[in-house]
Amino acid sequence: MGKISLGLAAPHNPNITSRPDKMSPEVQGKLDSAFGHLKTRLSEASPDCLLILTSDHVTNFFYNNAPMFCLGISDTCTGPAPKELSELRIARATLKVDTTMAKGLLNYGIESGIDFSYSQEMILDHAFMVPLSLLTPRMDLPIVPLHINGMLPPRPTAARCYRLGQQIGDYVRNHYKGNVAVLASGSFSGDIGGPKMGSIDTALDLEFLDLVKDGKGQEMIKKATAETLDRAGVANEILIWITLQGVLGDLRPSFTDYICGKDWSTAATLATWQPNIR
Amino acid sequence: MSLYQVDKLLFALFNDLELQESYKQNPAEVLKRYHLQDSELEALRDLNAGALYRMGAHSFLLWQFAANDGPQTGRLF
Repeated sequence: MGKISLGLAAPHNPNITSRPDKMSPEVQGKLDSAFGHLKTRLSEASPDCLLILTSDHVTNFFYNNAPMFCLGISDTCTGPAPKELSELRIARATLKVDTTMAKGLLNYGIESGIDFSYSQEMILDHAFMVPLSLLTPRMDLPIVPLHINGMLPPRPTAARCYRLGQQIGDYVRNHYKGNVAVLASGSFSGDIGGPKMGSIDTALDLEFLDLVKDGKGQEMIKKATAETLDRAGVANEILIWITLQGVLGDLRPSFTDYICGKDWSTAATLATWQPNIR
Repeated sequence: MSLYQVDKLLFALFNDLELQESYKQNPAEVLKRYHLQDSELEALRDLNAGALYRMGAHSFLLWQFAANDGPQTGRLF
């Protein structure tokens, strides 16, 4: 029935939109080129819906109520968050949610062992809006936002996230009528606000990127222990990438790029997967 | 997950722009609304994010607090 026509992974470092003047022409050129590649693939795939996997950045969720997995199921979602508007240089936008998919996935999950949380009021913070502003600047592609807890430990396990990804794939293939692109928004390592902020763990980033290039989801799961996630920092998004590996069934990417900007605390890793081109 | 009330305050300051403005105008008035220990109050008044981090506050919330109201992130630790 339905199909996953494209996988994308992109960073959401707010510096990309808020401080472009601080980027060297070389870094700016590389980012423009890589995001341009992803944007072209997305346009070619022409999906009915973009499922966005990322972690809320303590905008919607806090220690008073911290879900592991939460689907936005309202008819529309708006972003960026009010607190981000003055810095982010992304205009506030309201995006249509593909509620057929969002509610269908919610119910499929509940019936098949993924106890999703859901929200009628999910705000799209920069983790959603930075890549959206660069990949779909007209903000006219229906989305399904899915929060995967990365910032309020304990986090879900890597194996659980991979399984979540597999179930998303099963849902789309067996129960959804349409063509879905899936975006993983996030970087491997990033200690934003933590004591390691200001340095990038390139060694760790590249170890994970090598596993992504080889389509080794199980190796990624083994590597993504709680200890590794702590080393990767408070804002690491390794689990987001692992969820996407589950969706794509360990497909090898057709494109990857790794870009480090001066004064950044997290590197930009971008990738595309094209399931129809084997 | 210690320092819940500090994190709760930082979360509120981060997401509620009116509260953020009130805090800038009169921090003592806002601080009264939270159940804070003396050491926590002192660190908040001094914008001592390093001390709050060592006490166990959430680093991402602290970074936002510092970026909005206090020292630059490089001086946090």
